[in-house]
Amino acid sequence: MRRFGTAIAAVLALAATAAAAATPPAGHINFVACPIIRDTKTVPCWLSEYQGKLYYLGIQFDATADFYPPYLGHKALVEGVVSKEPSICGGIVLKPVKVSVIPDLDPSCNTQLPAEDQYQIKDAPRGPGPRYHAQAYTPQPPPPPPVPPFTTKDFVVYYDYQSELGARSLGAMIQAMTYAKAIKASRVEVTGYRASMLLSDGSRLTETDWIARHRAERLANTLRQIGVPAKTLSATWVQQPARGTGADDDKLRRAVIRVVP
Amino acid sequence: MSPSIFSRGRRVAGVVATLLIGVSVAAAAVLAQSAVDPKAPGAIGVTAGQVPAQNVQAQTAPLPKPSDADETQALYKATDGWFAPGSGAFLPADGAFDDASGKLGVLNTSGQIDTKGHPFFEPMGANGRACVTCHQPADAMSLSLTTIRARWSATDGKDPMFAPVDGSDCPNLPQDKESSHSLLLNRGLFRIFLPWPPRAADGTPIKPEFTIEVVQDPTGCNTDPVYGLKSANPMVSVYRRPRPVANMKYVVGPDHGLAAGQLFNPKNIAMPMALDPDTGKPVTMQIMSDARDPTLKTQAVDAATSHLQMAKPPSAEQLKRIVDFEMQIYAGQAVDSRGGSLTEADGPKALGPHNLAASPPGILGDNYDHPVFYDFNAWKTRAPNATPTQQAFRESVARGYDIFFAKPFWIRDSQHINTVGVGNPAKRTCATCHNQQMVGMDLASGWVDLGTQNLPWAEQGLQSPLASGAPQLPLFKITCNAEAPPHMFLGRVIYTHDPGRALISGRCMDVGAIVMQQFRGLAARAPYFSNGSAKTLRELVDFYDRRFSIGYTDQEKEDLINFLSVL
Repeated sequence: MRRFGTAIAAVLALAATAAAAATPPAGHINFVACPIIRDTKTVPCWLSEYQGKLYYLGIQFDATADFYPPYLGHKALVEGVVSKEPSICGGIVLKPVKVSVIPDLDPSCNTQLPAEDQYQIKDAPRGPGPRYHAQAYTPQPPPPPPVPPFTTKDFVVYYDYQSELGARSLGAMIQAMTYAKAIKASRVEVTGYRASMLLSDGSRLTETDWIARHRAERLANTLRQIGVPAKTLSATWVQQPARGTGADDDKLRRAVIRVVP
Repeated sequence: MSPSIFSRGRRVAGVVATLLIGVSVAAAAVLAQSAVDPKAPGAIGVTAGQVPAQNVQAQTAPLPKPSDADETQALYKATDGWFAPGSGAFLPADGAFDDASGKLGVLNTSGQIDTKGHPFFEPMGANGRACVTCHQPADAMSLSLTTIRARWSATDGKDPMFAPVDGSDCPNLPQDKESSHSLLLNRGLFRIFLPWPPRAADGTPIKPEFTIEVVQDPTGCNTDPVYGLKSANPMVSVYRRPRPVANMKYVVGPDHGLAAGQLFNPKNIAMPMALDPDTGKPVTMQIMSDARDPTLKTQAVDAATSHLQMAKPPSAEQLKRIVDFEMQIYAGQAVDSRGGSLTEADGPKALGPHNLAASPPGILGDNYDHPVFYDFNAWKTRAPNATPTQQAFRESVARGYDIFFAKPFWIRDSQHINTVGVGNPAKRTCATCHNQQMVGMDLASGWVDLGTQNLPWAEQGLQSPLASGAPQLPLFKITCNAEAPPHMFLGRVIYTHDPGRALISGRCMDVGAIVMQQFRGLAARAPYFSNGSAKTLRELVDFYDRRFSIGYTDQEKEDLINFLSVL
């Protein structure tokens, strides 16, 4: 596997910008804060407070959910859009919302609120106990095999803040692997990126400089492990962080798998 | 000895498997499975990556004195229920063995076995042990502390079970002293020695994400110049219970692998599953405390060349007979001294070895369509012929199952549980994780850090009533490098008695993570947890109660214990 790129040691940068710095577009709200868990009679809901307002993030479900709850003991990066939906669990609903766990431990994030009658989750797809039906996962039918003429295709893998690979990464990775093997790709080029997210207070949260390399190397290595021939694989990374505008910055935390016939 | 005796099989490629990934973004698809990755943990041929290095140490360790083994043979039949290596005894097709709360049923679906010449029962190695030494039918194919002590008493410590290689705290200790076998005699623990750094399938080192320091070494083995971490053949010694070799279709899957061809480990979702070196199929990764061996066959080689001190792996025919035998043995409690027969026709459908043999494996039981242990409704109402004691016990069991299945509590700070999409804490029940029907293992294979090994929750942490007294287990300081994904709830500096899967994967996030065990035959094989830290089912329940601040009442604890004891 061919690798190139430049590694520069750095630490996580939460860099305050000048007073005149840009802020996210209207409606978008991005911040780092402790998550809060509130119990209900059914499943707990997750909240976070920012500048005196409480925001609703989502509820506990399981691995099939789009929303993965954050962790007490860690801060979370919240990237969302303020919706006009009625509040849930006392929080302003962010929709869509992306929540990433900040890897560093923070014992101050330890707020667990008891259930109150005024906060109800009535339509939880799954309660805290066993499911009422057996099927936890609904397998989708396999995609049809690709047909010629084969073209160069990009598959984009998205990441939580400062993560190398996760559940949400698997779909695109598996699609890329399936396509590469089906067309007997001549090259599978993996490029890793890192991002600098614009927060609502005008500061930036920038991923460490080595995460782009980790993403590329780990993704390429995993593709090899699941059957993409090593001789076709290459891993590169872009050292410069992609600067977000405060809207959809989560899409900048990515790697691209380019499959070349 | 030279590692070169271990043959390497050819790589297997092109096996078609079906992908089933349980995440919303993934689809089922038919994929061509890859060959075993020689640079990831796993096995090539019949040999897992750690085995050649282990075998070097096993061949270095002294053997029991020859005369001791001879003397011991004469004592073999003195202990009821004990299957001595090479004794030639018959294992009945449908046996019953006394245990702490009644009788354990052991079913051999192929019928009675003449153990004479059978490689599971014959001492194949140099130290007089056989597989059966540590996997006794009367102990649910594991080994109870009661049996261990009985063997010590019956043989004056000369049973091959107490062989220096791993039946003592360290081979360098005077083997005739009881104190040299303290972990086996007090907690039922055998020494497991694993190469450091970890080994890939091809035996080459894996670069770990952390350094390991020995903080406390009460057995002396981790700092020993011959057997320790800084020896010429660096090894980490940890101490673990032997797991039951019964009901194995639930452990390895119906076809010795994942029927659905699951490509990724659901608990550690970025990690591809290990592959069976013979078939190229993904395996369940549920064997042993750390899933270091992908199949029962490679596990047999691992065990034979370390525990039995065989110089070479067993033959292909011997391995086949061992694996065939392991796949046909079922063990479950059959009689309770208070509850009576557990296998009545109209009784609970989950109990007894025959039901274990008849039920299909691989059923997700955390739901009301296929509950983990079916139901105990038959015991919730008074049976016409039941005595008051019997009825009270059965009602208690039924309540215990309801608590296990449906009572929520907060699962907190558990790596590979809280990190798989449910958040921290998560409001769930015992059945959330103990979810495979009939056995209570997690159907989503893999390892979890429950806190049994890592401080602060492990025994020497402040929370434990076992914190007082002299240290028994080694304690390691793990320091993870700055670029490694950390253990999400302990960070990058972790104190642990046993790094668990991390000794195989080299990953920081795996420190202290142990593969979940099955629930069957519990009454016959105390103590519990991989480090024997729960001497009784009460201590096991107390650990969970303490660990997750559940707040069980005494009645609830008794109900749970009674429920667990009939499995």
